[in-house]
Parts: sequence; structure tokens; C-alpha cells
Amino acid sequence: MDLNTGLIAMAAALAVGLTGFASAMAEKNIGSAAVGAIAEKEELFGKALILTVIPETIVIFGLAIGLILLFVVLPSL
Amino acid sequence: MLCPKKMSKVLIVGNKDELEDTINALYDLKIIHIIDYNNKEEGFERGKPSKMSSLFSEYVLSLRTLKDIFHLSSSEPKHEIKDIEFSIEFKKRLERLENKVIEKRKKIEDIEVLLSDIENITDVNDLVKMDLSSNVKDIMMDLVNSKERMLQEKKELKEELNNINKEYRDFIITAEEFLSREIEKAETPLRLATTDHTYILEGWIPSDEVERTQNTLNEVTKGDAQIIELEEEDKDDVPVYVETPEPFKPFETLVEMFSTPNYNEISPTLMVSFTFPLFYGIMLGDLGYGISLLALVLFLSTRMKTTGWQSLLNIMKYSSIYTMVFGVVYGEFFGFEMFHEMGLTHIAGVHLPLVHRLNQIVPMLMACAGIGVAHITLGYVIGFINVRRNKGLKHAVLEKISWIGILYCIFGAILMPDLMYPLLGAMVVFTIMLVLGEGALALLDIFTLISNVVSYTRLLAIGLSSVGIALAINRIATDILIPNGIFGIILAVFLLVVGHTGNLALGIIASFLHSIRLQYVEFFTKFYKGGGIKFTPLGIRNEEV
Repeated sequence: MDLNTGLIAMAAALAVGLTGFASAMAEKNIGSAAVGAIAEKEELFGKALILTVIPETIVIFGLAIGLILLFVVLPSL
Repeated sequence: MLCPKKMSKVLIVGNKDELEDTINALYDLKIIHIIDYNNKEEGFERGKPSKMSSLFSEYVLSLRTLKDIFHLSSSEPKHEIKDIEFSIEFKKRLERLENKVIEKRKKIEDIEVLLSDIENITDVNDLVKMDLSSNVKDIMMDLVNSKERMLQEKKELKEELNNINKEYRDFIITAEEFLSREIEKAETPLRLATTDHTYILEGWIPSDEVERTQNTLNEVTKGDAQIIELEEEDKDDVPVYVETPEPFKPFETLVEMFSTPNYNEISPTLMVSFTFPLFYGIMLGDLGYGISLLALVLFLSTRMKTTGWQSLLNIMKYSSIYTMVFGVVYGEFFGFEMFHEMGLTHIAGVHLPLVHRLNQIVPMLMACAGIGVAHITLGYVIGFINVRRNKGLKHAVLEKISWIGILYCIFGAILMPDLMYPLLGAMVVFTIMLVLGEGALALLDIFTLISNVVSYTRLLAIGLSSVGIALAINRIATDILIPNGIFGIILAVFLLVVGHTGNLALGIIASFLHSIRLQYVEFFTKFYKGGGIKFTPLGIRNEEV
């Protein structure tokens, strides 16, 4: 285990962790707005649910970067 | 199948005396989308509802009360709707039925209130200590003792209600359905313009049906009612009717949840009905989960009869089949590697499983991006056809081909670094085309394009998280719990059932949402405008979804 391996592992962890945090922050706002909308008009549930998962893309980008770091960059060292 | 049907704006003009027959005929044809008369023209008035309408409303009110009490829904097995004799007899029958039911309900409620009042008094001896007069004590005693009798009576009343329900449910459902239609017919005159002796009805009819409609009207009114086709320049408020073949119908719901297609564009229902379940299967991809999901869907479809639920369940049915297919491709059964457990490594020279998601992450990532490029290209191709039809070939090339070019240049350059410079050169050309087509601001969207493609890696990511949880559950159960004797096995079974149920629930929802998101955000933004008016002809009632 050299230093580079550790740093890459850290980078992957940060990529997934921080983007997860970002998704959560975005979803927090959308979620509370969505609940408000549903309280007024129940039929909006489906649309609200879809809107709520839109920022999940951020963490998926993070995951993709993490996977590339671990499975493409790390073996090539 | 892809494009909305061509519509003609028509006026139907005729003699007011024949209005009722005309409306009945149009109602049965289910062909005309009426434009409500706005009561603004001089000399024309809104029509008046026919005389029967208020009487019918009264009946319907009673019938709906009964329906509520018996929890009946109109989507139960369809009954032949016959003409019902609306004599005094019908009225009396309905009133008697309603009174009987309401009376029995009232009795049950009274008994329930009484029962809940005396529920807590079980021991009369407490009262003895309180030094009450023997009179009060006796009454209380009586009450407690009569509990049994009241329960019995309540049961009998419920039984009687059930019998009434069994006997009259067909009558209630059919009559309610029939009367609702009659009311709609009776109220249609409110939507058209009339003078003292004539009426004018404005609406949209599919162009190839105009002749048939005229023929029917001729039969009904002996040639008095005439259809006049209008030339319509404005294409914005044309109602949209896309003929979708029956197997793809459920996916219309998904498209309409986003927006009804515009009159001038291709409806994406057909594309969605292929890609949505495919993406769903790629994400969930587990034979065991697929079978469970199919079982759940088949069970629910016997219970949930509303149109909205039915189309959702049909979508899930297709999705569960794809899930099973990809479960076999990945070789996963509730997270277990099924081929490995069975000792199978090859069938007919093919290595099993075809794809191992956890071990082949990089190829899977590439494949997902590839699917993304293909899906987005499809979006631009549809966009190209739309723009070409509406604005001409030049615009279509500048607005859509430029995007396809940029997309392939970027990903070609990543895949084949040798060709980077020629591809970059081509990209400059495409970018110039783009700026000419959509303006300089579109340059910012190039980054969106890249993120769109990367977004398809969710096809792998969602699946990985689901496999991860399943794997963890299985490991804990088989490696840690089961070796620890009977108690461990009981715990393991419990953990497997609860864990996989939870994971399946998460997987079903997550796969659904992400699959639909790929359609809405990545696919539809490339070509779909929406905002059309749905074609709702007279005779097809807006069913709740």
C-alpha cells in the first residue's frame, strides 16, 4: 500500500461523500416544497416524487467518478 | 401511430327541435371534441339543459350515496347498460332502497356508540363500592348484560345490509352509470350557441371521420343538420388524439404526466414504451425480484380497478419481465449468484453469467454511456423530424444535426484519442452551425449534453446499490447467522424476509423514478414540447386517474 493508493481511495470517498451531501441539500429544499404542494393538491404526488429525485444525479456523478478512480485509475498506476 | 391525427374544425348547424336526437347520435359516435360556447356573440344564447336533467341529478345523488355506503366503484365488471324505465315505479323503488339502507346504517351506528360507551364497564362491583342506589346498579347491570345481545343485533343488521348489497349492486352500478350519461347528454346544450329555432355546435372531428358523422346525422335528422368544415389557420388549440396500439396504451399515462403532445409533433409514447421497461430492467435486474414484482403486480391488478392504477400496473408488468430477463443476464437471484451456486459456468459455450455487475464495473459504465448516446441520438432524430416538418430542412439541420455532431465528436475524441484533432475540427464546424441555429446561448448547453450522457451511468449505479444491500443481507444471513444453531437460523430467515422485502420496495421505487427521469430530463428535452390539449370527445367521460 503506497501513498498514492491511499490518496486515490480518499479521493473516491470524497467524491461519493460530498456529492451525496450536495444531493441531500438539494433534495431537502425540493422535498419540503413538494410536501407543501402535495398538501394543497394531492394529485401532484407523482410529479413531486419525480422532481424530488432529480438532484440524485449529482451523487450519481460522484459515484461514477469514484468508480472510475477505483477501477480505472487505480489499476493503471 | 406516431403523429397526432389530423383534425378538422367543424360547425354543426341544425334545427333546435332535433337537438336532442343529434346530441344522442354524437354521444354514441364518441367523435366530436366540443368547444364550449363563450356566450359572447350577439343574437346567440347558450342552450338550456333538457327538462329531465334536474330529476336525473336527484336520482344520481341517491345512487351515489348508496354506492358510497357499499363501497362500490364503477370500474367493477362492466354491465350491459340498458334503457331504464324512469317511471314512478323507479322513483319509489329507489327511495325505498335508500331509506332501508340508511335506516339500517343508523341503527348500526347507534349500537356502536352504545357499545363504545359501555365497553370500559366490565365489572359492576366497582359501582357497589361507590354506594350507589340499587336502582342505578340494576340499570348498569342490564346494560352490561345486553352487550351480547347488541353485538348479535349488529351482526344481523350487517348481514341484512350485505344481502341488500348483493341483491342491488348491479342495479345501483348500472343505473348510476346510465344516469350519469343521461345527465351529460342533457347538459350538453349548455355548451353550444342557440337562437330561437336553431343551434350551432362548434368542435373538432378527426378529418377522416367527418363524412361518417355527416351520414349519421343525415339519418337521424333527415338531412336537417349540416356539418360545415372550417379552414383553421391557428394550429395551437387543436385537440390532440394519437392512435396508440393497445399494448402501448399504458405508457401514454407516463407521457401525459409530463405533458400532452403538441398537435405538430411526434408523440414519444412508442419510444417510451420500449425504453422505459428496458431501463427499469437494467437497473433492478434480479430474477427473484422480477418474479416477486410480477406476483405483486398480478395480485394488485385484481384489486385496483381504476384506469390510473391499471395503466401503472401494466407498465410494471412489462418492467418486471425485463427485470427477470436482466436477472438472468446478470445471474442474480435475490442477490445470490445463481449460476455460481448451481455450479454452472458455461451453457452452450457461453460464459455464465453473461455480465457480472460487481466485477465488470468499467465495461458496464461504458455500456451505460453508450445506451445514453443512443437514446439521446434518438431524441435528436425525432427532434429533427419535428423541426423539419414545422420550420423546414435548413432549421432542422442547424438545430438538431449540429447537436448530434457535437455529441459524437466529444465522445469519439474520448474513445479514440488518435483522431482527436480532426474530430475537434469537425466539432468547431458543428458548433458554428449550432450558434447559427439556436443562438450563442446554446453553447452553454454543450456541458448539459455531457452531463446528460454521464447521467445514464445511473443505470449501473442504482443497480449496484440494490445488489450491494442484497449481498450484505445474504452474507450476514449465510456466513454469520446460520452457523450459530437453531436460533441463528430463525434470525437468518427473519432477516432474509424483512431485508429483501425492504430492498425490493426501495428497488421498485428507485428504478421507476430513475427510469422515468431518464425519459423526462434526458430524452424529452431533446425534442418534446408538449402543451397540447387532449382530445376528449363527447361520450367519453373524464375518468379520474
